[in-house]
Amino acid sequence: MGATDFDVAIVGSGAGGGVAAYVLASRGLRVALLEKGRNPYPTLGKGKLQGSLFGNDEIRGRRYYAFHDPFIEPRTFRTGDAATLVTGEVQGLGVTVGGGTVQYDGDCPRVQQACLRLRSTFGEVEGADVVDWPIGYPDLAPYYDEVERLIGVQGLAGADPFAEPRGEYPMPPGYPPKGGLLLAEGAKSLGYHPHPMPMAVNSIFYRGRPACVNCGFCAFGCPSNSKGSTAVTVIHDALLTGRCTLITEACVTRLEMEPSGERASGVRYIDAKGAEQTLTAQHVILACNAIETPRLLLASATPSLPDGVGNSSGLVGRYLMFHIVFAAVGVFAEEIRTYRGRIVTHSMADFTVSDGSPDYVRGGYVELGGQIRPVSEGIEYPMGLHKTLMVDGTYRRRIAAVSMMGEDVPVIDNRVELDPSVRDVYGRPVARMTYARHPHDQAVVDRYMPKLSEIAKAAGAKSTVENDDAVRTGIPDTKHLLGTTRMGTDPTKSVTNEWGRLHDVENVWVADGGVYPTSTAFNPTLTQQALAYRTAAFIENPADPKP
Amino acid sequence: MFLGGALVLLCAPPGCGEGESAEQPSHLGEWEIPPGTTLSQERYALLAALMDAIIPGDAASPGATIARAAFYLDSLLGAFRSDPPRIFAGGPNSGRHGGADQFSHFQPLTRVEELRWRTFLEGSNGIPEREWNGPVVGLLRRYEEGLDALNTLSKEVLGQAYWQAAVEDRTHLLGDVDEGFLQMVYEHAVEGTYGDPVYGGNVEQAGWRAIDYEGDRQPIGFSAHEMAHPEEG
Repeated sequence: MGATDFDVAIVGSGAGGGVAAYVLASRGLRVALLEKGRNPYPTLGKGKLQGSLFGNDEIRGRRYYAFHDPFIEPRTFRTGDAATLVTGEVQGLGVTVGGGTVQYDGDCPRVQQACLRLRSTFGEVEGADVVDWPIGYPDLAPYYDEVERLIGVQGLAGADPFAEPRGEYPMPPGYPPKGGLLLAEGAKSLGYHPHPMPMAVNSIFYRGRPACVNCGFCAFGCPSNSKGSTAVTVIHDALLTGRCTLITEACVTRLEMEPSGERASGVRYIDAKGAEQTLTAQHVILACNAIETPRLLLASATPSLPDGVGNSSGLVGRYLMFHIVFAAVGVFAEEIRTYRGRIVTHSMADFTVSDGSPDYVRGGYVELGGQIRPVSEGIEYPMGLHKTLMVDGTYRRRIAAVSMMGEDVPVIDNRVELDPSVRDVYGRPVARMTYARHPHDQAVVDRYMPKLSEIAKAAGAKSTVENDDAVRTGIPDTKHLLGTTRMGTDPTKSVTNEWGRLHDVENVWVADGGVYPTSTAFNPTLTQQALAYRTAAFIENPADPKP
Repeated sequence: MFLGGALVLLCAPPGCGEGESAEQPSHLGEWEIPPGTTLSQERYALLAALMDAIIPGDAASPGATIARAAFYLDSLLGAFRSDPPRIFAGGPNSGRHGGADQFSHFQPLTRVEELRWRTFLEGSNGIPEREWNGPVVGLLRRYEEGLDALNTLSKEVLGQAYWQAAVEDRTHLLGDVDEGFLQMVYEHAVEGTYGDPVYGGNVEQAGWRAIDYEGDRQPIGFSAHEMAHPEEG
């Protein structure tokens, strides 16, 4: 490749960016991996990885350590063009090396072929743009295999009768906590098929990282590196090649475009000292997430591209999807203490099959587990009853939840734009989200919430609390950021092609959940990583993009 | 011997290592005030009295006072009096379950983190760099004003300073306190009672013991038996 600073600049070191960096650097390309957040791993990329700066500590989580901090980067949210605009915390993810994979549960289900053929399997949904993906499960399968091997996924092949056929997982499931076991028994008694949740958490010593000891603080960043975040797996490996340069505390402010507008020359960013820098590259991969990537494309507008980069379709930022996540929280008489161990350990896919209702396509993947710790718990309780409720500790000690990942259908008016007035600490316009639940999505909640309660009761819960969080708080907090740069074959109806490249720009690629044309019925991270692997392999060798 | 908030100390709060003050705590009424607090002595007593009403305790189950939640908040207000500032504890282990105590080695802040926390705690004070969305009133001033307003209210309604009032009166008065201020204090009281002791509250894990919670568990975690049988404690 030519005389640029790097062959490939990757913006964002999370799920997709980390995997892409590994694929490209291990195949001989010079990679710059730009990350806005800090590096909490003192030994990252330096021989043997040891420990981290994370700890079993709720306070640093409350203070947004290595996380999206709404004080410096607020977001705005409304449920419609005429609705009240709320400013603050919306769908925050990790802002650190490893991005969202640092604080996630580690859930790693694959999608089903039907997820990628929603339109042809289930037909249209009025008021939504339900489509088929331009690729199918067989296109993804070999990349899934390789990502699972790299990040280390535990699971039990064949345990989910609704999953596509697959080989053995890299490692067996680890010990489950009591909540997961109870709920799985309850689900089984109703004829469902609960199984160990596939998770990027080491159940054994694996590729230089220790087995999980079940401290239970997965949501705060794994202190021991047992969880397979991209930081401690593929990024560490990419750095060891000597061809990947990790630039942390680097906030990319815009794509630099060549005068033709058909190629990017690199990126501009604010470095750790606050100075503006430019970096040139043959290719740019955007892997910021489905809120921040369209924000960057829109903010990169030039006089010849007034609507932003890659936006000839007008669809950059459109079809924002979050999943509809809702839960039946079972309250048990006996001690559960779900905070002992991983957050979720069991799941079931029984509801991912259509039950024939014309009101909705189907339900989604169901997680069995959930946990809360005393600082969050205490704040949840009303002040006047605080002491009594904390000593009893119902939330902390006696609940276990059954929650569903419902598919929210793609709606063109659900979108990310630049906010006209609110700014972030870097002086950039923040992301403004407009998102309302489609009647299809509400029908899913109405249909399946009672079924989730049934499972909790079958598990022995003396009562259940039905929690539709997005309704309770007004803002979805699902952490599943999808759509906004949807992939497709028609440049007038999609933003990226089947390899994740912007239709309009020959060397800019998207490697995050933005490329999802529909949201699928499953946790999205592993699929994003398989897609990112596939995109990176294609960049390196378009003739033979093998895993 | 009292060193008020107006005095800038390099490292006065107990537990912050080198340069630790050897001075003894003082008292205002029933409230013990550690030396060198960031809040003035009276405001610290007001805060302690307020948090005591929010999370009451007794011998069987300690509350905010025994956990010293007020000191947790005061330590946050004075975070930049230490270097590195006492914002993010180190990792991965506290030392309570084996290995070294790494929590007490606070992490240096990045440029943006320092800007964020200085702006949040001190306010923007007309500094353009801190006003990306306009002026910001710092947490210290919000607390000072909120506590002063509470005390004024107490003098009007109860005829005495809030820190002098009986717990029943202090609790009763909560209904008249500014809701936004009270919610902020509530959240800090909860953090100070059940957060890690390294931040100045939850002294000797009193908050965790009060609710039968194990706290941090690295590097030992939980065994399969402990997960399957939580009823055994």
